[in-house]
Amino acid sequence: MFSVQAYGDSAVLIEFGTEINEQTRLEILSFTEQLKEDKIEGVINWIPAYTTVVIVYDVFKISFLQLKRELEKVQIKVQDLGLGRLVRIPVCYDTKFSLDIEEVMLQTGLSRDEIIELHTTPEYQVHMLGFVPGFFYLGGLDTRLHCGRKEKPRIKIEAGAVGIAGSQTGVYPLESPGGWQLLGKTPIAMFDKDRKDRPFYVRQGDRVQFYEITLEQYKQFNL
Amino acid sequence: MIEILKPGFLSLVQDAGRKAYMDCGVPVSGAMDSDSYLLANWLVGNSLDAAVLEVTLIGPQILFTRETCIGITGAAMNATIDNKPVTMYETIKVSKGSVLKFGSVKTGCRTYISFEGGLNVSKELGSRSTYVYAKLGGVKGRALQKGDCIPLGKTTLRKFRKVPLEYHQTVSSIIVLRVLPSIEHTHFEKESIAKFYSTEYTIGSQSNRMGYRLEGARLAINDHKELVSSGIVQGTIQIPSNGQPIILLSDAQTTGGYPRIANVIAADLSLLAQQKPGDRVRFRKVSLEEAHHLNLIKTEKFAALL
Repeated sequence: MFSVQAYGDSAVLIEFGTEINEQTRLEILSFTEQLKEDKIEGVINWIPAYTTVVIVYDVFKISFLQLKRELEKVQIKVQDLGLGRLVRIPVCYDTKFSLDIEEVMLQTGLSRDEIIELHTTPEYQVHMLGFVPGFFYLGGLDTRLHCGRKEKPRIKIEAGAVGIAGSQTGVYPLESPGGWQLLGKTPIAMFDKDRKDRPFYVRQGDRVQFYEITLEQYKQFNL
Repeated sequence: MIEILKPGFLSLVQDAGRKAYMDCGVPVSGAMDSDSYLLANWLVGNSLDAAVLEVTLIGPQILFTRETCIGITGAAMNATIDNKPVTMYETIKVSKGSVLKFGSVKTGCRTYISFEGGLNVSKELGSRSTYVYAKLGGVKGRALQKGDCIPLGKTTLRKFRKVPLEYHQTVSSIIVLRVLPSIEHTHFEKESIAKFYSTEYTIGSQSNRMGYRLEGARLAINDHKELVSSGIVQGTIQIPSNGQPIILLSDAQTTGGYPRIANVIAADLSLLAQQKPGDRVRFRKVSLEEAHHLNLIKTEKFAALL
């Protein structure tokens, strides 16, 4: 179940739990799928996250109490959710891009090949998008790959860099500062405003799998 | 067409914002002072979501390659056309070849310049608003530079308009912002809550369209467990580990993990957008009903004019 509370005068926050887990992810996914269908008058947009959904609304179209009542009626049907689209993302783990793989080897006691193997094996679940346009938070990183963030965050990380930190893994969609350990780079833009049919390569509800490509394949990818 | 002769400190194309992609991590952006933005568009008979220029602290110099009408609202920056002072908050006729110049701001922070027909840059993700960090909207997704030429949209109606005085944006170096307690309000120490509502905060120099960093009484939290990242909206006041509040604004990221102490009410966000580093704010708590009532009064007032 979930609870609805006011968040400022133009939004509400719906809490589905307090811990990150698969059940909560599915409930939130089902809830937002239902929101798309129900089209509640006055709802402008929503931001799904790990354990919450923030809904922005127009108070001149729906009052807080009406909205709360409407939201409390939304039926969560986790059992009806499909498997979700599988998005396969090529990653070049060449030394040119795996800037922190040696630090990860030291922290985890794994070899380079083992790290790549463990990183490319799972099907990750997309929990949420945020931080910058097109950045997705993934769940499902193998516990053997869990490691600390960089002690000194980088001021500049290139768009497409693939990294890990703590229990998280993901791709930097824009050049940005960041503290993750970098393992490789993808030639696909995770955010491209000019790719009209798909500006965001990954969306909520998708599954993500990384697969390894060589430096040669990386260079030829966008030719 | 207009041509930018000098860009000023920070001149950006902005419209009503980009609300459709918050779930993909895209900030809303849009004009920071939406009151002045709406009035500017009204002055030249534009639709109320047309793109205008938002200029910050030091204004630009603009050459007009055709005759048109403009409107100037928000903070005063000593606007002149062909070196003759012009009046804000009324429709201004501009001849072909004229040059609009601005000085720097004395009180307030942002001036809005509307152009008959609107600034006709292409929409990106549904909006013309510039979001520099992701190079979205505006002119090449960046602040205006010398030599930029921006086409104007189709001319609508040419009618002289004047904004009544009671609609002019209040600009003051000290303001009171009305706020609602936010999601993690109860996580804060009692003394910190008391300080938040009773002391004055100064807008810090690191403030920008993403957020205002405030300097003042340090606020502490009872329970130091790390929060799970959650959606955030404009007007949220979050407290990072240094205890100094940050008010999140138009270009703020859509998710965050700092405890939220309060939210500035929608009716006061435009007023806040006119504060600049060194200005001061105080916070006053209101109820959700009061916030909605204040919002209604304001919206009805604007609806009566626009």
